[in-house]
Amino acid sequence: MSVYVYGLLAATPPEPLGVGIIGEPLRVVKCGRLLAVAGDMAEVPPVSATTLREHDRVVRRLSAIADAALPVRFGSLVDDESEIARHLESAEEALERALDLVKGREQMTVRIYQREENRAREEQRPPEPARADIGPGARYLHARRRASAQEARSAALAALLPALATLVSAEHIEAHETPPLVASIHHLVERGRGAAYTAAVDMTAAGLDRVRVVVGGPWPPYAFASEGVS
Amino acid sequence: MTSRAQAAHLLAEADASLLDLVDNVLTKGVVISGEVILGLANVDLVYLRLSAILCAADRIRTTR
Repeated sequence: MSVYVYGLLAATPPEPLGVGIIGEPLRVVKCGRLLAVAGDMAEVPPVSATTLREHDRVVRRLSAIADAALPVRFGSLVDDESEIARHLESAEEALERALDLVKGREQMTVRIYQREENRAREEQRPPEPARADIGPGARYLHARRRASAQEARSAALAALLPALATLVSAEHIEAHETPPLVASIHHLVERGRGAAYTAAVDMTAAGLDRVRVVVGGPWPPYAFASEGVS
Repeated sequence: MTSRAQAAHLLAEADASLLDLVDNVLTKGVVISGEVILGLANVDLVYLRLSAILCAADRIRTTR
């Protein structure tokens, strides 16, 4: 039987861990100075909305009963407990720093979408041909689309980031080249500050006319789990 | 609806929480095993498309 890993902790939580994706009992596995929360499983479960939500349910449970919990990515199945420690050994110090960073904190995520009217011209174009077949006209339109998305992204970030700065402990910003989604902001905030964060986002977003802004969370600190881990 | 159209629909905020779920659970978190990708071989095309879009992002700033 293989072992499926859900999260990493710094200390054994005082409350029961509960059960995993397939209802398997969970246990703490000591891996050097870290603790892994795992359950026995024969194979990686199929990816579906249900199994993703179940994985997230377990990670949320860990975050609820521990001050610091690092989510492990879906599908992390190893042959046995000793293999977990082998995988973590080289990153132990970085993972301890990540645990320290997320302690008492949770993740909020902001998605920035370019508004429809700003993309209307591009959407009238046929699908992009293979890159080798792109002519000067298509290259021009492609460049225009990228520039338009970049302008929308830059304007939104310039407004949002200063407005949220006092609430944020750490941030990861991702630029997407796939309109309508043009950027994702992942922020680490103190637990319980999610409502204040959402209010600050909504207030700032009301003044932005080129983008639509959607805030989500709180989430366990998925985007900060590998902080400093190469 | 094709998988691509479904993914575009989801990306257009029809289900922002599902986008966040896929992004967080499938593309972030500590990687324990090198076999994670193999485990996703049967991933539904909608999730694969969403995951690919999200993974294609360039991280433009990391601060603390």
